[in-house]
Order: sequence, then C-alpha cells, then structure tokens
Amino acid sequence: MKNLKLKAARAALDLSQQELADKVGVSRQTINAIEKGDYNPTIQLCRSICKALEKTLDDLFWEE
Amino acid sequence: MKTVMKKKWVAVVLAVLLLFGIATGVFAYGSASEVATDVRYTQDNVIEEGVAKEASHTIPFTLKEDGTYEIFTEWKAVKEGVITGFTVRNQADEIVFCVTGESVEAESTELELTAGEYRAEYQFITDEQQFAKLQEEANLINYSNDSEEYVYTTNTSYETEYHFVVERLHSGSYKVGLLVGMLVGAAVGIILIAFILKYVKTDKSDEAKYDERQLKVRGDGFKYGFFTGLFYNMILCLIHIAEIKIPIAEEVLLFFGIIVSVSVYAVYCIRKEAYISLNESASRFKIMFSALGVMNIGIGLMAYFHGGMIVDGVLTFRCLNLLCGIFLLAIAIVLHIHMKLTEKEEEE
Repeated sequence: MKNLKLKAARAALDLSQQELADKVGVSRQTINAIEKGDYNPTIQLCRSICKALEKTLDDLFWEE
Repeated sequence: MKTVMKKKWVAVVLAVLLLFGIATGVFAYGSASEVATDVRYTQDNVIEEGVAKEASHTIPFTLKEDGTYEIFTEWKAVKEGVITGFTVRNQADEIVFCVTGESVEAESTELELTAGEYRAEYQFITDEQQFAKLQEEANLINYSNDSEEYVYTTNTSYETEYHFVVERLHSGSYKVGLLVGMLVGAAVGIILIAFILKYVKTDKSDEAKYDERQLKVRGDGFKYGFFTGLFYNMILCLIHIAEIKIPIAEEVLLFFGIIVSVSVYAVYCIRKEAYISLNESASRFKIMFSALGVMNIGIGLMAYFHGGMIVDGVLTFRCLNLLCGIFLLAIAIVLHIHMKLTEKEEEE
C-alpha cells in the first residue's frame, strides 16, 4: 500500500526523494520504495524519517 | 613508518612474483603442445567365413616433436566375437602401443616418442592364430589371458565407431608456469579489485555502506545467485551422467557457472539499486567495468588469434578472458541502462 502521508510530508518541506534520503542516510530508491509501499522500513528508519520530516510515527506510519 | 616499509616490501615481492610468473608463463607457453592427433571415424566391417573383407585399416600421423605422449583409443562392441587389435607403429615398424578387445577404452602409459611418422592400425582378428601372432609381436602381457575367452565369429557384418587420440603431456615447467601464471593473475586481480574499491568510493571510508533495504536486496540477490549456481551444476551433472558431449572444456563450463551465478546476483542488485553502496559512485563503477571488460576482451582476442582457443572443435580455457570481458561489459551496459532509467524516474 502506498504511503501517501510520507510523500505529502516530504513535499510539504519541499524535499526531493534524494534530499530526504541524504538526510536519513539511505538511498533514494529506499525512500521511493517506502512511498510506493514496496518496502516496510524498520522502526529505526521510520524514526529517522520522522525526525527528518519533523513528524511523529503516527503521522507518517499509522494506518487509520 | 613501519607500515610504509611493510607496504614497500609487499610491493617488491608482488613485482618479483609478477616478473617470475610472466617469464615462466611465456617459457611454458612457447613449449606447450597439446593434442597431436585426434581421429574419429565409422567403419563398415564384413567378416565372411572367418575372413575380414577389409583385414585392417591404417591411419598415418606425424609427431612434430620429441616428448612424452599418451595414446588413447576406444571402440564399442557391436557384435560379440569380433576382436579388433589396435596398434601404433613407429617408422621402424616397431609396435609402441597395442591393445585388443571386442570393445575397448584404453590409455597407454606415458610413452617417450621421437618426432616422425607413425601409423595407427585397426586389425580384425578372426582366429586364435592371428591373435597369437599379434601377441607375440606386441608382447601383449595384459591381454594374454583374454584370448582364451574370445569366441571368434566367422560370419557377421557390423558398423562401429573408432576413436583414437595421441596427446603430448605437458612438461613440468609448463605446469609450474601455468600455476604461477594463475597465481600472478589472481594477485593482479586482487590488486585491481582493491584499487577499484578505493577508486569507486566517494568518501575516504574503506567500507561500503548499505542501507537496510539494500542489505535485504543483496541477501535476496545472493540467494538467487546461489540457486542459479545450484541449478546450473545440476544440469552439468545430468549432462555428464548422460554422457552428452559438449564441445566446451570442463573448466570453461565450471567457470561459466560462476559467471551465470554472479550475473544473476549483480543484475538483480543493480535493478533494485543495491549493487552500488551509499558511498560509491555508479559512474565510476561503470567506467571501471567498461575498462576491465575491454581489457579482458582484448586479451581474449589476442588468445584467439594466437590460437589454442578452439582445439579440435573444443572451446578451451583460453576463452576465459573473453568470457570475463563479455560479462563485465554486460554488467556495465546493465548499469548504464539502469542509470538512464533512474534519471528518468527522478525527473518524473
């Protein structure tokens, strides 16, 4: 399932996939795979992404 | 200071090893010779009232150099009681190798043969007298007891395939040269890999850094590569059991299995963007793969034009550089295509 919340949060900060990837120390493809729902990140990476986008885990990764 | 000294010594030792390897390799390469003659043919045979219509057939061959040789021959029994004697005679008409039987798969011991004309002869033995004559001439110690078991057929006709090979054995220096050459090749390969790993890094780190997704993908890549290798070896095994003749040397087939496995791993990882680590440059990888690919293809082509890549219709180990070159270029092309696709994706 696509993670549109992550994509929206990234866009809100005007960050490209590559820029977010550089911030959290992963490849651009990894961010792309998370947004497309092709890869389930570990809790550690989720936290890093949340910190980089100034969001909580609930904001980005909790399904309602 | 100590580390610098150590590195210098390692460089000196490697340089000496390299020079020694090249010198021995060149010497061995110059004196190398392999199959001297390889004959395979099918013959119709008719035996009427104990007399073979064509009593024998002769194949002349020439040995260009003195040396140690091995003679191998085989034929299958089509009809019971049809005995064939195979002899190899030198210019003085002396038998240097002889074997008899209904069906045979025999190899001589190491024979010291001089350069000159030889003739291989297949003779059909239709009675005990003929066998005794050949036994006496060739001193058939190993087969002397067999004659008592032979039942000679008086009337028959059949067709069978005969095969014989005369092979010059490599000298000790050739084997040493080959071994040293391979060791030096491996050493040069390791140095090149170390250089490549340093060259492709975008930071000063010695280690490649992968993120968690890349590590998972690489694990999957290893798995697919491993199963590909397993499957390939199973097929190779079945081919071997079924005695299917492939005009490719065994070492080439084995090496090709490695190439196939590594290709599966590399292409899978490249497509999933897990081949190049976070602190490595894809462009530099592409340049290195292309350069190494072209270099290997160049060496392969040199080997092709020098001769010995295809011997008697069989692809020999001398094609390995060419295979490596094609593999490396293919990886560079896959990397290039993937980079172009990724660029498009990023633009979108």
